[in-house]
Amino acid sequence: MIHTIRNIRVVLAILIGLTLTLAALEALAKDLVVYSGRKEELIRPAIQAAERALGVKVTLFTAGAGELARRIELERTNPKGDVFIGTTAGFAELLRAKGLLDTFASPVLNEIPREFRSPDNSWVPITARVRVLMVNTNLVKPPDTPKSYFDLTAPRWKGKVTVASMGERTTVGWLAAIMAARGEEFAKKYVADLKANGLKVLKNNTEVRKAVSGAEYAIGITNHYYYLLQLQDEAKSPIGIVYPDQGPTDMGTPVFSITAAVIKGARNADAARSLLEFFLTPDGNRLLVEGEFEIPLLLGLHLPGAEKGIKALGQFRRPALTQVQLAELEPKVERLFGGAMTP
Amino acid sequence: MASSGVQTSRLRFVRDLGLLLPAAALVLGPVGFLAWMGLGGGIGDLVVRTHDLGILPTVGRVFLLAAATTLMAAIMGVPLAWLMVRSDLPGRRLIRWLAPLPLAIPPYIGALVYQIVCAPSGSLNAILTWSLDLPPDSRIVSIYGIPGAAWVLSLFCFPYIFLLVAGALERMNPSLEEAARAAGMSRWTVFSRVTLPMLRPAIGGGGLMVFLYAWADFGVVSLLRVRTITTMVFDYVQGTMDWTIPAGLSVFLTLITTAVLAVQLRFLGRGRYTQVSSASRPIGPVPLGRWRIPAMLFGVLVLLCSLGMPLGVLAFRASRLSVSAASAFLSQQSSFIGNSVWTAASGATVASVLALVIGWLQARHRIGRGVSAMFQVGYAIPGTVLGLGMVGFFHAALPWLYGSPIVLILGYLVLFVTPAIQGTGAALAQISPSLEEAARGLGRGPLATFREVTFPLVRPGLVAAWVLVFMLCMRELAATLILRPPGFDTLPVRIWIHTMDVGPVPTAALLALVLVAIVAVPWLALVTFDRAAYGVGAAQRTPVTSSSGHLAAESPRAAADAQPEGAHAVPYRS
Repeated sequence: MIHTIRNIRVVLAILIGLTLTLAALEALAKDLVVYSGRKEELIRPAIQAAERALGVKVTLFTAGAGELARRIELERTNPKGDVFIGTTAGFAELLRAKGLLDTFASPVLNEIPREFRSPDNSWVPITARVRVLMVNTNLVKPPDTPKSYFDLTAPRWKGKVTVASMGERTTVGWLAAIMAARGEEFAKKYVADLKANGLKVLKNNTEVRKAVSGAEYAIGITNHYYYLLQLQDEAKSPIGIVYPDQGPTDMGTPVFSITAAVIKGARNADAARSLLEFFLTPDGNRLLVEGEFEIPLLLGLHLPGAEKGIKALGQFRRPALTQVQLAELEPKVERLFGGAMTP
Repeated sequence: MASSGVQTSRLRFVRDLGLLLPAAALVLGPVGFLAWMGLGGGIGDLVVRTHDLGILPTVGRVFLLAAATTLMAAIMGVPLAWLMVRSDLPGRRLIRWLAPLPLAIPPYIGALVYQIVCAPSGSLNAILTWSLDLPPDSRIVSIYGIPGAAWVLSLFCFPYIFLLVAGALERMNPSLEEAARAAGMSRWTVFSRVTLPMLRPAIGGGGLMVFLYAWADFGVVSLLRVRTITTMVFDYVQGTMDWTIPAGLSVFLTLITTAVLAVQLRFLGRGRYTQVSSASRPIGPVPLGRWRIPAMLFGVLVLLCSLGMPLGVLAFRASRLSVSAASAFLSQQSSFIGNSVWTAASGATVASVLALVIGWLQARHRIGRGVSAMFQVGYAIPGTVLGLGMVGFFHAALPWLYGSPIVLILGYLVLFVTPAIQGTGAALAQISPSLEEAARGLGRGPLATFREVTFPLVRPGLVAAWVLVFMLCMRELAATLILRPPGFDTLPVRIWIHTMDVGPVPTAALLALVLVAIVAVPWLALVTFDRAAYGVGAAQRTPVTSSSGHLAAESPRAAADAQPEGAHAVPYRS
C-alpha cells in the first residue's frame, strides 16, 4: 500500500514536470524568435530597444549564418524562427531561391542605393560593412604597406597574412567579388598563390583581429569594424586600416550588406515585420550601426569611426557589383575554395 | 504453467523490443540520416568535393594528437597514482583529493586559459620577452598546434588514467612484488617487470578513454588551431547550407572511430590474464629517499598546471568585474545556468535509471548486451556529428520533439548512457542472482526484491554514475551547440559564444568558474564522502570513469578488463 502511494507520487511528479516543461515551451513559442548570425553582445542594444518599442519579447538564437539557413530549410514545414539576420546577402538569396522567405517592403528602402537591395523585396539590407586590410603598424611600416589584395602574394608577405575561414561568410563574399571582377581562372590562381605564400586561415574574424593586433601576423584580410572593435578593446593597439585596390583602374574593395528577412510561415509574422520596420527607423538603425560599428545605409546617420579613418559609402572605390551578383557567385566560391579556406 | 511461460516470454519479447528499438533509433537514426544526406550525390561526388580538404593527412594528424595526448596523460597519471598509493610522499592525502578534480574543468576551458597565458601574444611571452630583454614581439612559446593541444588535453584528461591506476594499485596483491624484492630485484626492476605489467589493463582502460576523448575533441582543437575532422565539419555546418560535405565527413569519422574502438578493445582484451585477487593486505609505503624532492615537485607541477593555474587565471580574469557588475551579469545569465542544471540532471537521472535496467539485463539476458552495444556506438559518435545527425533525424522522424529541450536530453543519453552502464552494470554484475532468488523464495515479489535487495546494493554505483553523467552533461559543448533549441542555451554554449565573439572576456571567465563550481561540488562530495556514506564495498562498485565532453568510449569488455583492478575510479579508501 505504502509502495503504491510512493509510486503514484513519482508518477505525479513526472507529470507535473512534463506539464511545466510544455508550458514553458508554449510560452517560448509566443516570443519573437530571431535567428541571428551577428555578434550577440553587439546586436543586443538594438534588440532590447525593439523589445521596448514593440512590446514583444525577443528570443535571440545566435549561430553561424549557414547553420541558421540550414535550420530554416529543415524547418520548412514548421518554422521555429521568425526573423533571419545574415552577414551577407548570400544566404538570404539562397533562402529566397528555395522559397523560404516572405517579402517585406517599406518606403524607407528607397533611401538605400539599389545595388544593396533585393529586387523582389525578399530581404532588406539593414547596414553595411567593407572589406579591408588590417595591418600591424609595428610590423608593417608605411612605405611597405600593401595597397592591393594582389600584393599579398609577394614573397615579402610570406607567412605574414591571415584571413578568416569561410565559416565567416564575408570571406566567401570577398572571393566572390574577386571572381566577378577578374574571372574564375584568375581567382583560382590568386587563392593558390596566397596559400603557397603561407596564408593562415583562422577560425573567425575575431581571431584574425587578435592575431594581427598581437603581432602574430602582420596583415589580416577582414572587415572594417574589427579595426574599430580592436581599438575599443585596447585604444593603443598598433593597428592600421587599409582600403585596398583604390587606384583608378583597380577593382575597389567590396561592401556587404547585412540582411534581415521574414521567414516564410513564421508563427509571429506580424511581429517579425514590425522588427524589420523598427530596424529601418532612424533610432533602430542608429543602434544597429553604432552597436556593431557598421556603415549606415540610410540617410542622415552618423558613421561610427569616421574620426579613426573609416570612410563612408562613396568615399572609397567599390566594385560595380550588386549584392545579388555577389550572392550568386557565393556557392561557386564555396565549392572551389572551401577546402583551401577551411582552418 | 505452460501458458504462463508463454505469457512471460511474450512479455519479455515486448520488453526487449521496447528497449532495443528506441536505443537503435536514437543511435542509428542520426547516423543513418547523415549517411543519406552525405551520400545522396553518390560516393564519387563526395570524394571529388572533399579532395581539397586533405582528409587523409588530417586523420593522421588527429591520430598523432590522440596518441601524444594519451602518452602525456599516462606520464602524468601513472607516477602520480603510484606515488599516492605506494610511496611515503608528503601530502599524499591531498593528492587523493585534488588529482581527480581537473576532470571538473572542461578541456575547452583549459584551452581558453592556456590561450590567455601561452598564446604568442599571451602573458608568458610578454614576461619572457621582458625578463630576457628580447626585442618586443619575440614569440618564444606558442600553445597553437598539436603539441599545445596534446598538452592541454592531457592535463585535463589524465585523471582517467590516474583514477584507474590508483584503484588497481590499491587492490593489487603486494605479495608478488614482495617476492620479487626478496629474490633480489631492484625497486626499479620490480616496478617495470612486476608492477607495471599488472597495471596494464588499468593503464590501457584509462588510456583508451583519453585516446578517444582526444580523437573526437572539438573544443580544444578548435581553440588551439589544430585542423581536425570535427573542426572541418563544424566549419561547414556554420558557414554553408551544404549537407553533403559535413554529413559525409561525419559518417567517415564515425566509421573510423568505431573501427579504432574495435581495434583497441581487441588489443585491450588480451590483458585479461592479469586479474589479481582483491584480497590484498596493506604494505608499508616505499621510502622515496633522495627522490622525495623531485617527486614532490612533479606532483605540485602537475596539479598546478591542471588545477591551480587554470582556476587562478579564470578568477583573475573574472575579478576585473565589479561585484555588482558580476551579480547583474549572473542574474541575467541565470536562465542559462538553470537550463544547464536541469537538462544535465534529467540526463543524468534518465541515463542512470536506464543504465540500471540495461545493466541488470546485461548480466542476465542477451538483449541487455545488444542494447548496451547500441549505446556504445552512440558513445563513439563525436558530439559535433551527433548534433548534426540528431537535428536532421528528429526533424524528419519526431517533429513534435524537434525544437524542444528533450532533444538535448536524448542527445546526452546517446552520448553518456555507456559511462552510466559501466557504473551500475559493474555493481549489478557483482550481485549474485542467488541473493535475489533467496528473496523471492522468502515470498518477496519481483518489485519488492528489487527495492529491498538489488537496489540498496547498486545504490552506490548508481550515485557515482549519476554524478559522473551529470558532470559530462554539464560540460557537453559540441553536440549542444548544434542541438539547442532557440532560446535554450546552456552554460558551455554561452561561454563559447562569448569567447567566439569577443575573446576570453571577464564575463566568459566568470561563467566558466560557475560551470566548474557546479560540476566540482557533487564530484568533490563523491570523492570525499562516498566511502564513509556507503561502506567499504562502495569502491568496487563505482564506475570506471568515462570520458567526457563530446565523446569517448568504452565497452563492457574494457570495463571487465579494468574492473577487478581498477574499477574503482571515483571514490577511494581515505
